[in-house]
Amino acid sequence: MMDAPRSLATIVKSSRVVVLLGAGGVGKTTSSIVMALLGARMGRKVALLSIDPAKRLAAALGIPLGNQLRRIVLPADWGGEAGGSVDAAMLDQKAVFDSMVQRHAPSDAVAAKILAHQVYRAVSSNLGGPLEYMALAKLQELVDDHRYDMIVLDTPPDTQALDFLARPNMLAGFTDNMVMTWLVKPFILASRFGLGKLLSASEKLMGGIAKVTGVHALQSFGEFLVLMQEVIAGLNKSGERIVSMLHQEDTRFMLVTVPNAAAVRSAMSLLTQLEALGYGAELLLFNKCLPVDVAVELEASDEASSPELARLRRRAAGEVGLIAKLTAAATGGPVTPHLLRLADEEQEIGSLEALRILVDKIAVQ
Amino acid sequence: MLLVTGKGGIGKTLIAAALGQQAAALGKRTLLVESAACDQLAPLFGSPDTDHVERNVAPNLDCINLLPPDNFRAYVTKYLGQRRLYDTVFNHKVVNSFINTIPGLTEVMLLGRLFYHAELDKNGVYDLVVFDAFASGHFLSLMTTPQAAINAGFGGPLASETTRVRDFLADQSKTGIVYVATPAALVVSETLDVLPQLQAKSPAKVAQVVLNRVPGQPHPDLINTASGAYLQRRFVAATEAEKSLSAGLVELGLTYAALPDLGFIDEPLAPDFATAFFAL
Repeated sequence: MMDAPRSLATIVKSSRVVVLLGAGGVGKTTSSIVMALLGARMGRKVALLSIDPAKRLAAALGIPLGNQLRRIVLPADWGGEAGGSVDAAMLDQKAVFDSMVQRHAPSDAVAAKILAHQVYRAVSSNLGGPLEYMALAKLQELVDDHRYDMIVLDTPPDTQALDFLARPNMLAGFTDNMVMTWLVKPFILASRFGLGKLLSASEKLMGGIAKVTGVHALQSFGEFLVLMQEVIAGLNKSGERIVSMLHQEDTRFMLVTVPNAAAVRSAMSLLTQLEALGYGAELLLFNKCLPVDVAVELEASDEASSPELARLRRRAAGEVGLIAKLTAAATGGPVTPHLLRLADEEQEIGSLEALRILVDKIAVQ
Repeated sequence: MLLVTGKGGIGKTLIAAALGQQAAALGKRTLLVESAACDQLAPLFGSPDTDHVERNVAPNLDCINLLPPDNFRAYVTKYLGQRRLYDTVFNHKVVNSFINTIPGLTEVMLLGRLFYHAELDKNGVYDLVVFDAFASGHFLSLMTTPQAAINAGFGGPLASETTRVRDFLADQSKTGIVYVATPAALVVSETLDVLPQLQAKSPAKVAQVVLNRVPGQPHPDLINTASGAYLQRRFVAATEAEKSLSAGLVELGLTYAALPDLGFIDEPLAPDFATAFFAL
């Protein structure tokens, strides 16, 4: 028999880290803010790391984009237990990346060279890039910061694969030492003497790649990797610590989705990957559900008097089925999930007041 | 080729699937493409897993979920015709982990593979390729990669082929973006924010804006029920959002087509789903 899910209050009060996972467009960023505010209401000192490329939430909450945490000023009548607070940062990929380079580079001169490098400029601000790794690296920093007792981590909107949880050493491929010592360094040395002299097997391989990409881009990327070597090693080391932190009992995962077939399929895929890594989803949040009074009314009526009602009834039935399906799948995992729901009218947030309503609705579930 | 994009969670996949189904019904040999961690297109046609190969899902209609490493192999072997080079160099484990980190290469390979299916395949190209693309932010960075790769000093066949791909994307008689939005305030503001950036930075241009999930006005008899009141509130909010989209698009010189809110989508789609959907 499965254990009963823990209550929301127990989860919020006992979590050191809450990681939110979900596909794009399911309200993940909003949900991360709601969780952080809920933590504050329960007296916890919360750090919220969020990623909102559209920057609307940042504007609504008055948080500047970057990697510095800023206190969210709650109104005097906000209520809740004493001592609670939320410090939030809306991560900007380039700012976090820059600070990692500065921290791990062997000298200021090397850091400056990296920051000015053409390849670095391309990698560090590319949206499709390593935002997940950035968020985790920042998370590591905060776990060591004892001003906070709860950390809420939002993940980027396009997160479909959880590789970054398995290998939080940023830019995993870069870190392969073999790539560096065996492939890149000999090539960089040889290319200084002209490619006609390529002799070793590794140089021949690089020559083969150059047949497709041209030599210039490879040289420039190789140089970049050599510069980055110590930064990569530093990140690699903190990556190992992140893995052990994620495996702590007080790190909790929250799966966010909406009740349609495609989103639930994505959520199932994330859940499978999560469980394959040995984690479980302790919280399951369905956003954009039919409002409860509508669902109840539809269930009580026995026939649909109009096409619109017929459509709503199909939606109500479909939602029930999908919620049951995902809950059952998550229940088979290492932890029994606590199920949360928010109605679709409650999603349009743009102010602290609107967020307070969401916190109220979640708090009683 | 049609590239379908928009904010996350607004029904891009359904629009891409419906476009593919409709084109196939009109007799065009059509390929529906996605590049995602889990298959979302094939299940709409009752085929849960494509295993990353072209899978026929209906008459004239194939589906594929492209996997980055496969794109690389296909690009070097089929597109560049360098099978031996692939076997001796690119298939090497260390090389593989190296090239996956070269910025922009994954994106160039993906676009190259779409181009291959639309224009180059000697065994017969498709009449239409529909790509259920990434959400708008990621899509914008995908579209800017060809030019970035050319500027970054790539040489050899990669540079010349990427130039060809960019020109194909920029040819408005061949490639167009279908931008999907919904009548919600946040979605509309993001749409009006992203569209000018796309038009300015992407070689491919917007061919059609689609406003998906437009709710109808509920019957007056329903107004005193919870369901009716809910439908009415949604209708009012959607009408407001649609107005601001409409005004914003006029300024950009674009128009939009509205599609109705279907409520809940049953899978698999009926064979005549697209015909019925677009008729509405």
